[in-house]
Amino acid sequence: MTASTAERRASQRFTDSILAIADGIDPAGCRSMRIAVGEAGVGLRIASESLERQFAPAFRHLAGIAAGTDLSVTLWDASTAAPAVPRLPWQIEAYRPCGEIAGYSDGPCYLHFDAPMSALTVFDTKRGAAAYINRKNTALPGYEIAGPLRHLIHRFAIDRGMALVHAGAAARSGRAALVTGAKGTGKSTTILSCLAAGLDYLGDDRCLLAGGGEPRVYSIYSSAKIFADELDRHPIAGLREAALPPGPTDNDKSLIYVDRIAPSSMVRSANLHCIISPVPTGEPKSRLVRRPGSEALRLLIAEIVGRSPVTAARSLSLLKQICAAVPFYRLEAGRHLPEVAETIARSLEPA
Amino acid sequence: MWAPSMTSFELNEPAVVSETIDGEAVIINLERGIYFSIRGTGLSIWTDLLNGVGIDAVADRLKSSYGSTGADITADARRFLDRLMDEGLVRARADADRATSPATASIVAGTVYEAPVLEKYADMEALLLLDPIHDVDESGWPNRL
Repeated sequence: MTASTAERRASQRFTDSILAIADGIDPAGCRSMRIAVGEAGVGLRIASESLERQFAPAFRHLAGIAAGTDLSVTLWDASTAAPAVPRLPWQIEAYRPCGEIAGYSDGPCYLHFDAPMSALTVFDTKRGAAAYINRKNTALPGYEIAGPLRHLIHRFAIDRGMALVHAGAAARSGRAALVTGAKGTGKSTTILSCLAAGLDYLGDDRCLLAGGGEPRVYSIYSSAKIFADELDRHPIAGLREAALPPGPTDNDKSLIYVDRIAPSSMVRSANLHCIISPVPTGEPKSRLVRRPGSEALRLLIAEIVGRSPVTAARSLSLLKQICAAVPFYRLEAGRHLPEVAETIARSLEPA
Repeated sequence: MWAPSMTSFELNEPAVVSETIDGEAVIINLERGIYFSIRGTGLSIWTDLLNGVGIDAVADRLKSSYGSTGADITADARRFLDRLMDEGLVRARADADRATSPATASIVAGTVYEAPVLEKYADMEALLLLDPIHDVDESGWPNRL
């Protein structure tokens, strides 16, 4: 995961050329918003009505909070009046399956190519400037709309002692339970059962984790994804009406924005009180079983190893520190959802 | 001639990173997208190896700590080292071909000897071995989809 001097120079040249295009895009055609990413401010300049419509809602709850701008991102797509992107300078062999580009993603500039989205991200970490270019102008899949700019946000966050993790979080009285686990273990169901029970919501699939003396969870997306046939399992007013129907690539998952249906439950951050991994049991009762922090570390790092080898070493160090600081529980989740939520609420009582 | 018993080892950085928490080392091979877990006897061997202890000295310490177990502890330790080498997690130190450090890793009192185990989690390896991009258009953008 190290780049040669020549690769770093080439990466910098290419990044400079992309950011020059971004700087030249007519501001009159852009919608701007500044969002809080942890305690940092990120300015988004969206030069596409389609991208603005699809990406902005997930960040809406983070707008108007940050005082300054630590990162400026320009987003555009095929509909934007912008010069063509220069020929991509790396060889085919440089593409890693995760989208990072060998030699071009490993230094001060971070480049990522999302093949399914046909989207290129460039990030000059020293300048604090980035660009997201989607070469299509089409409806994006639900998972992309629910969690825009994941690779950029994680790369930005890791320099600031944070990591974007594959986990949801629910909170009460400023104390959060981070809910993690492999795909399909019921993270969203668990988190939405907590929302229905009156707990605060930080996210169902991605959250920012910050280390330091007292680990903290930050919300990054207001979105939640739920199987369409499970909408009626959660007694949340307006849930069914607010759910956007799944598209052909959404695995029957509907998208909702929690800041719209339960704005008072949407919180921006909370102290990390515990980490929980749900295991559906089919039994009537739910219970928490204390497990070693190493299991939490393996769960949290696994997805980052696949998604971003460039940041995996720093992510491992950060997550180890966090997993050592708070207890980890396996949630043996019964079939009665209110009791699942009650079990999590009990875990959030002061120590 | 290279003799593992007389050699000291180090973490195979930067391709490999490791952290220890709650009696378990979590080790990642970044290039292969595989992570590993080592506990118990394996963790004390791992800790001593990375502190510059030779494998036979590690085995001697285990033998003196556990007493007579009926197991061939030296053979177990050497097999474990072979696995660590095969997975590319450690490498022989270039600057110190003789292991001289004393064994220091702690062994939890009252535990029973168990042969060291390297647990391998390759769930992310499949992702890293996904069909890569084969073709690009005239502007260099992938044509895969």
